[in-house]
Amino acid sequence: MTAVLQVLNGLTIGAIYILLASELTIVFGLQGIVNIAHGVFYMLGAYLAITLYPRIGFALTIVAVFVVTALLGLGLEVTGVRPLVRWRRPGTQVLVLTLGVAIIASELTKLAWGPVPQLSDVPAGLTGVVSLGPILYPKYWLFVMAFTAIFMAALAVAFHRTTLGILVQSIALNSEISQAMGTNAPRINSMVFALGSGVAGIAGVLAGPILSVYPTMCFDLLIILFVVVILGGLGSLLGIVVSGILIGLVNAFGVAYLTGTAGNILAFAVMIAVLVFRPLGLFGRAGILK
Amino acid sequence: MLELHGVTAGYGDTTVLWDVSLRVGRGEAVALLGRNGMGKTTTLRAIMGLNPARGGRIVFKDTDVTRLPPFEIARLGIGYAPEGAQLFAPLTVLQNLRIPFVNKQRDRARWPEQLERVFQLFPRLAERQSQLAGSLSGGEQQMLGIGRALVGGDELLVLDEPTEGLAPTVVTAIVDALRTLKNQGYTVLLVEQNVQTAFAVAERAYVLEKGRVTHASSTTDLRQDHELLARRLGVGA
Repeated sequence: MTAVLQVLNGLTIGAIYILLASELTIVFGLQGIVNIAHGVFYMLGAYLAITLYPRIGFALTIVAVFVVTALLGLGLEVTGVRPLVRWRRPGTQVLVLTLGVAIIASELTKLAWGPVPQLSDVPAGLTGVVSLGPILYPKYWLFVMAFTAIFMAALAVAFHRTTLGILVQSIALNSEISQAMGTNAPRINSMVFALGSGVAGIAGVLAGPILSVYPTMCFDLLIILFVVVILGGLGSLLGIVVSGILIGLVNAFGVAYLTGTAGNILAFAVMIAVLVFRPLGLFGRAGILK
Repeated sequence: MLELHGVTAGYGDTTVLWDVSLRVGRGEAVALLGRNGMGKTTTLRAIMGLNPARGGRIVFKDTDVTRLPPFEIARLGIGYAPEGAQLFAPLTVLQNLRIPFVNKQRDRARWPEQLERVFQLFPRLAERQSQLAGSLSGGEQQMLGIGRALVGGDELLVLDEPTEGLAPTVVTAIVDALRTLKNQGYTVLLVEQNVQTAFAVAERAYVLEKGRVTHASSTTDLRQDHELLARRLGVGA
């Protein structure tokens, strides 16, 4: 029975990984860049929720955090990432730039909210437990899973059925040719970056009551997110879902049956084992978002 | 409609084009000939802004496009069919056509009409609408590549070896389509290694050698010049 409990825990943590990793993989697919600052929006979302939630309620907090983090993401893309990509200096330089942004943001967070870890409140209406047969499980954790499931389904539909989704795919497949077909790739890349930053903010709001909120959380989670992205296969949304769940489960079981740090160690072990047999990850194919 | 004045372009530290000048008038079909590696594709990529010109000037419909990003050049009205079609393989035929259409056409209601134009030219594509572009035959891929250059409602078609590596019967189908397009009033700039295809479509030709224009004449004159054909283009006299 505790095993079933750990499965649920793994799915909940995995849901947060999936929300965050999907954006990393899409941005990489589009622009070939690794955005270390992604965790900043997640952290900011969690902290803003602590401040905003008691004042404006949960639903409005989600909206406000999405808007704020999306705008900040847009600012970072337009002023920092885009010039580097335009000067054909993506890759390492974007990595260093976004690492710098993350370090500054982490320090500023310490100044603004203090260095002590906090836990945000479970939103009213989502408190309490649900009985699943013999197991009592927190309602809020189930909500996080459902939110992620709905979000990923919507994302998949947007990708394959909407005009914007098809343009995004064409940029990921062949940015040059897509632009020669008239696609304003710089603008679409900025939009996607901004939306992804907004989603990271929402992930932070959702994670606040589950994982603790502290000024270096933007780095700690990032390492695991890279495991999820690489294990799933760069550019693969299906891969993100599968590997997010897998790493979530590994983490939950590691923490429950071994030690607190075993989760991360096991996650890396799984990644390395998979990469030995599938160097492109579980669902990786060069240059494709699916 | 399109003018190149002393264009220099290349890749990284390598210069491929030296001082290339050429002109394509409205309604004309012009071929760019030359052996492999002489700079034909680079010329087209420079026009599209994919390899921006380092020197010289490119003017399209009275607009200086030399420094514009590729998507703006495309939106001014150039339909581009790159070498080897370069389709978006995991997308369907319709999705491939949809991309230039939504980028270039303000009026979305024109979609059926634009599609019809492509399907009339290449009926085989109509049967394969929902198939993935990557699953098409080589000839069909080239047809879709040309179709992608048409749906934007452009006036100038820039085509990079649309018959490369195709079986003779398919080449004939594509040449017929290109002649139809020309008769419909399209302006065409065609890169070809296959001189016969170029002669069948274009009325004027430029010959590129080692990144420079070394010959310009009507295709009727060029056809008679067996010595030049043999020496510069490697065509048996």
